Amino acid sequence: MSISAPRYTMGPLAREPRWNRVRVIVFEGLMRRLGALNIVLIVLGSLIVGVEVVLFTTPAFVQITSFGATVGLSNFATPYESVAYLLLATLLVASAGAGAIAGDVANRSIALYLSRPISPLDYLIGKGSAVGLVLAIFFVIPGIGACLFAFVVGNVSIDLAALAMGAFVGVGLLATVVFSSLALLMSSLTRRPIFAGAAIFGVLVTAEILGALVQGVTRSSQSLFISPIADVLAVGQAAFGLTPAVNAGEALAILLIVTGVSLVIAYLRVRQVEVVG
Amino acid sequence: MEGNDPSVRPQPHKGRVELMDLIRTDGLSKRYGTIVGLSGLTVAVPPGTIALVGPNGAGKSTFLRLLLGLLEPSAGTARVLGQDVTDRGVALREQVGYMPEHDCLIPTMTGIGFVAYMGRLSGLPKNQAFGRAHDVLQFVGLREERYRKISEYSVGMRQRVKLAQAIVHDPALTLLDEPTAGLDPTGRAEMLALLKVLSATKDRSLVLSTHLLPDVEGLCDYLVVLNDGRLLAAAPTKEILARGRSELVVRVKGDLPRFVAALSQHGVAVRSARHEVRIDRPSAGERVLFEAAAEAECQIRYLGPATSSIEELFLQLVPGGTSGAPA
Repeated sequence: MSISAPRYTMGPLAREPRWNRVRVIVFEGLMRRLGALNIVLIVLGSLIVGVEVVLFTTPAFVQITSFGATVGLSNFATPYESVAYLLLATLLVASAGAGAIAGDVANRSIALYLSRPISPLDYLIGKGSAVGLVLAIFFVIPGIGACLFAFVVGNVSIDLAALAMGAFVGVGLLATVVFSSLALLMSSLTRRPIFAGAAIFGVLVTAEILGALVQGVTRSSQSLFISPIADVLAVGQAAFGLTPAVNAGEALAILLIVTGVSLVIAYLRVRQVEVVG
Repeated sequence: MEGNDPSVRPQPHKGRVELMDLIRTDGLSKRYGTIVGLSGLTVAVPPGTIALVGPNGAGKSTFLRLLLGLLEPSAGTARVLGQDVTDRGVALREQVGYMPEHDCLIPTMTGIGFVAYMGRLSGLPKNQAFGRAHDVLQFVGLREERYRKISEYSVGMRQRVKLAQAIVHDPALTLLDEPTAGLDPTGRAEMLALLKVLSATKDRSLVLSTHLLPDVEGLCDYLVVLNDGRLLAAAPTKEILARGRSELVVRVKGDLPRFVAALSQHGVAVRSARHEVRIDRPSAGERVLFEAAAEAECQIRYLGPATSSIEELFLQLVPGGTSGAPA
């Protein structure tokens, strides 16, 4: 043990601006979320996007898979029609988002976060952005890579590749924001990350199954709106020039409302956590 | 160097707090539904080392969280270091350190990583945050263990990390909620020794919340006593202890009623006389007590102040205490 408390004689300590503190939370959260499981899920998702895009955009393959059709924007939409891709996405949302807030509540470190010179909103932005970055790596990066690959190797025109890339980025960012906000909401409702993860996966899958079941009974696709996955699919398919099962505009509106409500509830929960804790 | 980074904004030195109250509250209240956490607390506390004492559930932690701006008051106002906690909470927390009572560490991080992370969240640039983290971990005695994961730390080591993260950004005021909770006698003594060093640091104030009264004796120079969310006393420790010393306890061998009668004849106010006699300190000096004893043919076996420790005083102040009526 040293003799005296550490003090500097060079004067007061410098302070960085507030957004830098948020950036520190984002970076720490990103590092913590890039664990083995999430990296495996991201790699598997990238493989699906890569294989499918190559398969459906390389003219030689398109001749076979689409029975002589030419390459168009809709050929890039395959990730948004793939069950395996969406299952991986749901697993990643649950895995990456579960501990975002619940982990800090579980070990009570949230008290220390909020005792620092940041606001609850800064904390929420930091945590949400960390989850969002992980999801963006899944939803956006492979799509961009696949489009570049299709342009270089698949002999796709620059216009089409750029258009597809824009669709991947737009829909990918939408999916990132929607699923990040849902993950934050679920993570703020419990103090056990495993419960939060189960809730995220359960809600997304249950809504999807329920929507499909009700659609089967009523013969109306309106019930699909209750599933965020189906809504993202609808917007994704519309962006890639396909005709979705439900109206893409309405699905987009629902997703934005769900995102807004989730973030507001998560914010209110973060403000309450210190009282509860 | 960090000093050349244009994004780094040096702040004016805010450590000097002699000219204002460290803490000033006016009618500060906090309710959790129907439960009263704090009720109409009005107090002005000078800089220094302050003890916030009271039994469990007295409102100490609520008070600290209000001072940090983590809770919104139900009524009243609070100013810390001259700043309103409601309006300036975020800015205020740059100058305040907080050590919570409960375990709050991130177990997967190393000691150095965690303390530096907390420093960065307080606004320190990366190099300074790590430099300070090394310094404060050495100060709290975790130099060798700083690269180990926190999940491998003992209770005592975790308390030290909590203290280190509270002081990593060199705050003008450090709020410590039950810093010795869960420590063995050796760990407690070491923690108190650390706090003593901190309390002696110029321009730095500590608020120490505890229900372990021996912890505050010899460490704190100002005492705030809470019970059931209400203020019972707030004054310099010496002054509060002196109040208790205005009353004397006398134990005699002999006829107690006769001794009491003799005391009355000498004009000494007797407060109680059961197994021992409690009297107001006589203005004529203690000699009259011996004269009264001689007249009553008694031997004085003990003579001393009624309150010799904060613990005894606390028992007097808190309703239901064993030593007397509330102050």
